[in-house]
Amino acid sequence: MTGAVSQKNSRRESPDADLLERCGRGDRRAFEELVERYQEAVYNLCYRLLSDREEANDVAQETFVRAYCSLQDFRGGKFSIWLLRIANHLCVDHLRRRRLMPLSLEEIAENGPEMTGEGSRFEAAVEQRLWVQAAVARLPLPYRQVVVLHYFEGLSCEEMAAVLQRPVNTVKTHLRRARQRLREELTKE
Amino acid sequence: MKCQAVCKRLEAYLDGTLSPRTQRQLERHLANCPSCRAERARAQEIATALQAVERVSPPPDFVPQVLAKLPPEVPAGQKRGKPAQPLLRPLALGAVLGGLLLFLVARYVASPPTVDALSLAQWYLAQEQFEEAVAAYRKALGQHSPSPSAHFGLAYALWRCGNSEEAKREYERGLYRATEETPGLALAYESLGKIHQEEGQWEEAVRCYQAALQLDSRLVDAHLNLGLIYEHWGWEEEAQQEYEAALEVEPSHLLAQENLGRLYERQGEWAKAAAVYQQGAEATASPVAYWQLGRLYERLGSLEEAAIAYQMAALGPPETDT
Repeated sequence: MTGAVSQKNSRRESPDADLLERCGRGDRRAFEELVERYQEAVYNLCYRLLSDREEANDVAQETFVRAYCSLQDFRGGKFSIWLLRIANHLCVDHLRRRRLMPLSLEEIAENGPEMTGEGSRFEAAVEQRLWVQAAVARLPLPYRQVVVLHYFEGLSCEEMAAVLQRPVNTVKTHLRRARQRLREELTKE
Repeated sequence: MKCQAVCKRLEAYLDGTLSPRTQRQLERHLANCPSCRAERARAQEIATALQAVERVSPPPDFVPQVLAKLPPEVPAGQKRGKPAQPLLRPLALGAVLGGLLLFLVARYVASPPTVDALSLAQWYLAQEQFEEAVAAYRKALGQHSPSPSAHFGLAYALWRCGNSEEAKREYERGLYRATEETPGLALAYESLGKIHQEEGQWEEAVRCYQAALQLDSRLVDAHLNLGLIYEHWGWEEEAQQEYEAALEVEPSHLLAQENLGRLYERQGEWAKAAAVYQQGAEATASPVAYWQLGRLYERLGSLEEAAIAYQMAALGPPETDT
């Protein structure tokens, strides 16, 4: 699987390091390029963790502002991983403030698509995609984080461990349990 | 290889990350086991569906909105934006304003105490500087004989930093050493319950909330969260008791009113639901509460009352004096 984050980056001409160096000299245009480059990855992570477009927009914007204000703390490595770490951290904090409750999860389930009987192959594929999104949104947070980062952002277990600041083995265990849960849900359908 | 072992390795098999030997063993099993083949098909179906999920696009004005929020430009070479260290804050204020009095006031208000690591940790926690609080609590716990309250403080700071696993361990360490007189014991149980709940471990969460409420029956969050879990399990009577207990402690708690009202509605107790929504609307003047009241009256056919409630909702939130 090719990482959506790295794939997007490799098509560009200026490497992140050049842009970051220009940012260090006070060049806001360079930071603008970084925002353009990573807005989709950051926004997607926020949206998949928060399940709300407006909140995802606020938290994604806050991610870039925080990153800009603490660029001097960036210690090298992949800039995208550092950004996603900030975004993940802000999302977790946001969820805590929002006090995400089981009922909200239930509401997600209620709003999710209903599996209907016969239909065209296309409809079935669309339904399945919607079903899987609703199922991911119902996963407990640690499982949801790894599924989103792995499948939607294309991160490896090592990269996820860096974003989530958890040991690689914990990340692998969470990913395995998340997949098992999804499989169990599919069996129930 | 047995079915259980096969099921555990199916995703790794589909990812192609199994060793050649394990892969051969697994394939031999699959060839002879229809139920594991069905399981493989399900795993494949999920992987395909996950990979096909479309990415969502940020709004078109995302980049300009971010740029508008950035702090003003600073000359090259100067540190950008990061707030000054707490110890430097009063000095900066003093230099700008030049007043000794203000300097002294600011020093006490905005600077961390220099007494000992534990006081410093508590100060950082009060300032919501959680990473600094974690470091200071760790230092304090390394210097003194570990106090349960210090473990609770460290656990809370870790949780707010996003490190739930370590936070749980710290809460448990603190609880192991705590007695009934330990300050913050009830809150520690409540917070541990929230972490468990957030991770979907509802049985553990319930045990924690019950322990918290035995120590302090006025913990509104514990009542509410317990009610939500009970409601989710279909234990409506128990859920109702918890919501009512939450409202007894805090009569104008909007979430408690919403939950209790919804529960009454589901039970067909329309009058009780209307009373709860009415109480909530009057206590908080919240548009949401008025909207719920309107919706309920509309459903009951009391269109005049519904119209009044909707009009109140349309007025928007109450103005504050600030």
